[in-house]
Amino acid sequence: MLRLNTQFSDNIDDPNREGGLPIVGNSVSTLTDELLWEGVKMGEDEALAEIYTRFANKLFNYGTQITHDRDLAYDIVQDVFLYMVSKKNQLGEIKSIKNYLYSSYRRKLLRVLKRNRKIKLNEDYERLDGFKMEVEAEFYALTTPLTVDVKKLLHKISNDLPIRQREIISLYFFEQLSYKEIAGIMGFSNLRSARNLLYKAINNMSEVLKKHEDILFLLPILLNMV
Amino acid sequence: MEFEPKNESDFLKNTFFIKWVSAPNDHSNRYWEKWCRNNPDKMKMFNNARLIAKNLKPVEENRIDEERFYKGLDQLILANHKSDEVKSSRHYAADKPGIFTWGRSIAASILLLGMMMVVYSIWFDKPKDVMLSMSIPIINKEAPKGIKKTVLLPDGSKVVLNSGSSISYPETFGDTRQIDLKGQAFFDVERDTARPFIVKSGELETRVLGTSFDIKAYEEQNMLHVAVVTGKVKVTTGNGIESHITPEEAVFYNRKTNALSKDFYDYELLVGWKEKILKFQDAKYEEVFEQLSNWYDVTFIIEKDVKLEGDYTGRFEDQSLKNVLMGMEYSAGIKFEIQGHKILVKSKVK
Repeated sequence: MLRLNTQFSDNIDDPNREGGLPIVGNSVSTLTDELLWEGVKMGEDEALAEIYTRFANKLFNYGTQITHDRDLAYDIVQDVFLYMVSKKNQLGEIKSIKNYLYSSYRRKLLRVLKRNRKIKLNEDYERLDGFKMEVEAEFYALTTPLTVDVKKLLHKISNDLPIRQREIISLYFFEQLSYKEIAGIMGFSNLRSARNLLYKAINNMSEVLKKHEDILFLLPILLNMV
Repeated sequence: MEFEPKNESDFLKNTFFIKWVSAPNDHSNRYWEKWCRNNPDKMKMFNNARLIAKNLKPVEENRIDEERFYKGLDQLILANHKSDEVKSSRHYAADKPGIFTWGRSIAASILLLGMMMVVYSIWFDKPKDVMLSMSIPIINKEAPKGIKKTVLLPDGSKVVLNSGSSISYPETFGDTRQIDLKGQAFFDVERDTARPFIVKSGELETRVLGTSFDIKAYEEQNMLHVAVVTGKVKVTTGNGIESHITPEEAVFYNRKTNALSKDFYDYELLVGWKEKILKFQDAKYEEVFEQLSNWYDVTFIIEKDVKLEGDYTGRFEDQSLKNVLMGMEYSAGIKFEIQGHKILVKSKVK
């Protein structure tokens, strides 16, 4: 079986990665989208495998936040990639591979869900409890007795927001997509509506956090975390 | 447009801030350091926002189970080859089902490609090249100092010339696609298995079928390199040393010692120039000035009392010369004075 660069792709997507300098010897991680895309168009297996390794799991996870059906979430991943390969001679220029993959993934998944009557025509989610997030509590755990309270609070953040707001926050914080890209992926008519929703989501989230400012914000300073 | 946050949310709405928290680089580090120095009253807010952005995590991270993942990848590679067969009549061993998965057969086909290249290098030798150069007009393209240039070759391959570089090639290609390079260029070669693509640059000859790679071979510089981005490349030196390199790898040739060494490389350091990224890692100041003078078409004049000791490390993306020099002044014990195309290098302490 083919195991191309799995460690490396975990590495590049790790948001905890410290320091800015790319490490010599790990330089494929800096392969630009443009070059990878050219590779796919030229029919290079390496480029294709690289993109699959970088994104297949991420797309799958994205799908499982929208539908309960894990097999379907996987099938759509394959659909998106197989379509890309079958059209490789007609592919145009793109700015971001991630943007391309996420847009087509979401579109295809929703189309199937609607066709199978899993969701109504004007709905975007089969699951309503997807895209949940928390503020990682590990580093409090070692030093404070408040762990249980903090955990509860942190789960509350995600419970309070509507799923659409949680999705936009996920794309923005975890995938680091721009307003413009998010607008394209989530099917907003323009950049401004994407930004408005994101602002609303961030304000709501901050509001919840603010109520518990004492726990969240003061502790780290006392503990010299920052 | 100054960034003036009123609360934590304003930080979180700033895309540049979010990118910095999750994937900082030299540039953004410098920016936020400076921002903090200028806004000491907003430090609490800044730290809070950073904490939230850093520790916010998805609750679920579902992954495809491993077996399915590799099955999916194999399926994809298979489809990739299937749509190839229409264009070329290459045959792959895995037409027989079972035994090998497609993943393995890639390795086999890469090996095959390597062997084909060796065969080419034996069969298609010098005589034909000589005949070629006699009958077909030669084209010269040059990128002067301060300018980068993209050249499209007769076979559809793309060459990006770095400043102060030139290439020459026949108007139409024969059995081989032969290019002469002085200076530095990035090649994106159209795949043509029947006609190897050969670049001669100083002591190095680089031979490929269809890949993308970077070659640096300035006449006045001691170090040459060939760095591969995609595909497979064979490099031969004037004294007959041969090396095969694959993505992530580069060969470095030292003119003083005639030595060829292979190593992994830092993409931005070697190929970043193509995306307007200037990067120095523990570079000698002489090298930095040499590169800057080529890049911006200026001459550096170093004053007598200036001692250029130590190394310089820095990264600039699409910056003006003035900004680059300012960045260097910040971290090195020197200052610059710009006089048209001349840059005076002065000592900071007077």
